[in-house]
Amino acid sequence: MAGTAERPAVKPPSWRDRTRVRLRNWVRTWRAKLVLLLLAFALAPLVAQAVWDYLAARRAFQNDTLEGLQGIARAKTEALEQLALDRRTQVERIAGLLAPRARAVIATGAGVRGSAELPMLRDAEALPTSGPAAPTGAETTPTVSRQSPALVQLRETLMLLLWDRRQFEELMVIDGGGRVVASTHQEHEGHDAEELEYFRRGLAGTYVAPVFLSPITHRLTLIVATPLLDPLRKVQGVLAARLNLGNVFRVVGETTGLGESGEIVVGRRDGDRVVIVAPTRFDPKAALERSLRLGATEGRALQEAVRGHRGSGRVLDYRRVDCLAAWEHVPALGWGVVAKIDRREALAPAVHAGLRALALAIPLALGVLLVSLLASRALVKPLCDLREAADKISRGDFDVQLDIRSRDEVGELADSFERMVAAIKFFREHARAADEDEVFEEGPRE
Amino acid sequence: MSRELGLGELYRDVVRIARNYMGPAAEDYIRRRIRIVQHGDAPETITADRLDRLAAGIDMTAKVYMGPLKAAAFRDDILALREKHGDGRDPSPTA
Repeated sequence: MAGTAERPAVKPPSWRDRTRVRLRNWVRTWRAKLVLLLLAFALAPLVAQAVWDYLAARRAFQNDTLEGLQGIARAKTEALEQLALDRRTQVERIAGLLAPRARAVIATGAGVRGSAELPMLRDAEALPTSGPAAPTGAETTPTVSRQSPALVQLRETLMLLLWDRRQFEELMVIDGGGRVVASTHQEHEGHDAEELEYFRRGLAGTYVAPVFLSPITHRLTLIVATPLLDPLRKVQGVLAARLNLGNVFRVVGETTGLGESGEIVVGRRDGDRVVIVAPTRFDPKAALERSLRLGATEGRALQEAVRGHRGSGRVLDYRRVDCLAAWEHVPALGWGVVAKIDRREALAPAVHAGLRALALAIPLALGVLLVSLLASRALVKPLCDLREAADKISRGDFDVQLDIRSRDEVGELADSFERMVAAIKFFREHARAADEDEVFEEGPRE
Repeated sequence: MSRELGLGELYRDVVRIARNYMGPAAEDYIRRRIRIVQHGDAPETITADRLDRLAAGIDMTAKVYMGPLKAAAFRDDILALREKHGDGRDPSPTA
């Protein structure tokens, strides 16, 4: 090939590049500066006011939400407290009712235990789940004579008290030695409950055990244990009632007033952790499955509640979601109750109000922009005229006419400019005609 | 009253006004115009009765150096000096 190198075609600037250059040049002009200045002065107070209103609305909505949550948490706490006290009182009354019959059974079966080792009653482990059964003659229990009329009578009474299991899942009579002498679940009879905490503490007084998973119903439950007293107020055994927590969970699960993202979380302290003891709205399997470390960033509300504190504020919940929450302590159960709602939902009305204000502000801003453009044009036009006139003179064209009538600084500048142009024109014209002028002024030279 | 003003006072007033329109060229321009009006006499000796002719000359020539509106304003400002210096005519004798 001969050396005729082709020159690369020059690519024309794109529309975007041209626009960018125009914009950059425009921004450097006085007019752009004026427009921006006017916009800033016009919009800055509006923006400041809008931001202030938005923040005030957020504060108001947050405070309203927190007040509502405090009310809900208080109501839930009182309901749980009342429920616990009712059940506790109920168990104590049942114990008073059962005491004579239990005494008869305990007296009958006390010597049956003998030296044989009894199987341990392990509440938290899987046990046969036949459900409460009516006493029948065909059933056998390992240690207690089922032919005892006193035992039959006690069982019948227990079954009668338990009849619909709405409040209790099981009632057990345990003698002073820890042996289960009668139960609505006959599989438990003859088992040894001596090592169980609720038995030991139930001997001393009414005790409400923590929530655990019932091996009988495979549902969460808790036990209220209270001493069985003889007429001389001597402890002869313990009545243990396994509660049906359906009512408790209904109280906890009710989310009226909590919007789409609100829920109630209930927990208890277990060493250095807080264990959630009831299903939550967003995690039905949370009970006993979820726990939080005391001191952790998330679930601070629940941590405070189980420590016995009451309060409200902005927290991260157990899911690490930003929430508004109110928390209370339930002394009767040792639980903490948290009523919470996602902060995003709680503040949504404020955000919507802000967006509405923004939608109104946009036409206003466009109007301000239009006025700014017109005003800046009026302000800058004399300067542009002066610039053009100076440009013409600099190119030798003295035929300039300025039409600037303003009385401000620009008008004064235009006056000065016109004087200067007049003088230049005069000197220029008479420099050319200097000879003739001199003749006229000095007279003809000889 | 105008007659009591010193010689050259009117000339200085005219130049002062001309500076507002002609800048550094004002004195040259005015001297040129007054010489024409006074047929070569010293410009400082201009009297008020020549103001009309001076104003007419300014009206005709200033348009070369400035816009017509400015030139008209220049002329009017010169004519306004008559209020200060009189128009050079004797007042009518009273009966």
